[in-house]
Amino acid sequence: MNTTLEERNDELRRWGGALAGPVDIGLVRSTDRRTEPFAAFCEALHRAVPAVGVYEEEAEGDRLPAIRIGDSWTFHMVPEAKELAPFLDLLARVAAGDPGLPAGLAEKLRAVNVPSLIDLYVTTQCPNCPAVMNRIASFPLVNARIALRIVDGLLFPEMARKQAVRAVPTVLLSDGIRFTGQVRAEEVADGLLNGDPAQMGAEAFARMIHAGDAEGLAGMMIERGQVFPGVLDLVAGDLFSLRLGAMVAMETIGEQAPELALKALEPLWNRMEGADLSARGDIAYLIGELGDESWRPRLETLLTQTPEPELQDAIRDALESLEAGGGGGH
Amino acid sequence: MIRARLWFRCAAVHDPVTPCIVQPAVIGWKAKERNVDLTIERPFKGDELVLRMKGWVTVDPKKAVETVQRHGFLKVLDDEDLVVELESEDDFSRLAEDLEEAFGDQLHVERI
Repeated sequence: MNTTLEERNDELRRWGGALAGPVDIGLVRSTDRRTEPFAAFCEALHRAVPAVGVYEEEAEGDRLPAIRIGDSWTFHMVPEAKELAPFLDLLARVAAGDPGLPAGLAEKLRAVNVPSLIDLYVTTQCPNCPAVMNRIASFPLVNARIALRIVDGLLFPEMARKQAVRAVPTVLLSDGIRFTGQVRAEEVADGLLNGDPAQMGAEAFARMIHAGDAEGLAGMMIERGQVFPGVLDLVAGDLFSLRLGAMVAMETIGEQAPELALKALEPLWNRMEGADLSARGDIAYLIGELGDESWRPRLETLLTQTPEPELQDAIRDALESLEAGGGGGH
Repeated sequence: MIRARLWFRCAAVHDPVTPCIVQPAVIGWKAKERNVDLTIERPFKGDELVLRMKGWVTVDPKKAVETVQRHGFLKVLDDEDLVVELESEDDFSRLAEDLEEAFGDQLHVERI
């Protein structure tokens, strides 16, 4: 039983009665022990307000438990205490399809043309956090390129540590811009609008790949004449589905802008050392497809230093591809 | 005698926190006409420790010290932990009430 929600049953029913329509939330289950409070919250909310449907997702890889709303909102936070009201307000807006933002702000948000992930760190006892969440929570309703991840910094201290968050509320944009305290919605929108995709982390691009738009991502990089480091991180990452999508993007660049793809191989090679075995094989494959003869000595040296038979095979295939002229227009 | 812990709210993260001594202050001397290589370690007293929390917690530490000292004594136990020592249950109850009245949910005592 979720005590917080049980105690607020009347309030929840009134809120449910005013919902514009049904709305679904996703419970992301993982092996992490912190899944349980998320499951209890979803169950209690559905019991109090049946119009809120709950579907379940198994967390992929080492993903943490979460509540999701569509593809755009991920809550690594159980929306209790002071965070319940802004969560319910967001659900109501999603149900109504109404972001409730001033026209000028919505216009700025619509102009954001790169995938943008906003991280908002909160705690459920913080008096200042709900206001910030209210201001920015409905941004993805205006522009689906924008995604929001809300993290309870006390429940997931490892995430807060990783992003060097020591105070809440803190807003982090994909390209490293950071706001702490009572940031205004316009400031966040300006940060998104002026964001530099070259500075964005892999997670900003992951959603685009998950949505099957690897070619769109490739087009964006070709247009800007730059392969974004965050995409190379996905190629070298250990999540197969994302790696595959990022490789499709790289191959598309190889077909349409081979010189650009060739330039990306050096930073990709630098990621080889920290990558797992499968990813190293995929990097070798891309070098074979997109590289030129200048890559042969390095691949041959790598082959002599590689004890793993499956990686040896991938390197040999890559050498054969180079021999055949690669796939990148050579 | 009753001992209790004093829980403030962290100004940055808004969770309950209490100050503790990680390392005592190391005090030395500069003499006018010689070098003094002697140092001594002196921990903070309870009220000194609380007063140094200004800006790190959501309440005014001076006001917190005044409120606590109306009912009990602030001490640093075992050179590390901040505690409040109170004579009786009544003192504890009155302190808890006064803290709630003055600071709401931003400062409370918990028996240990």
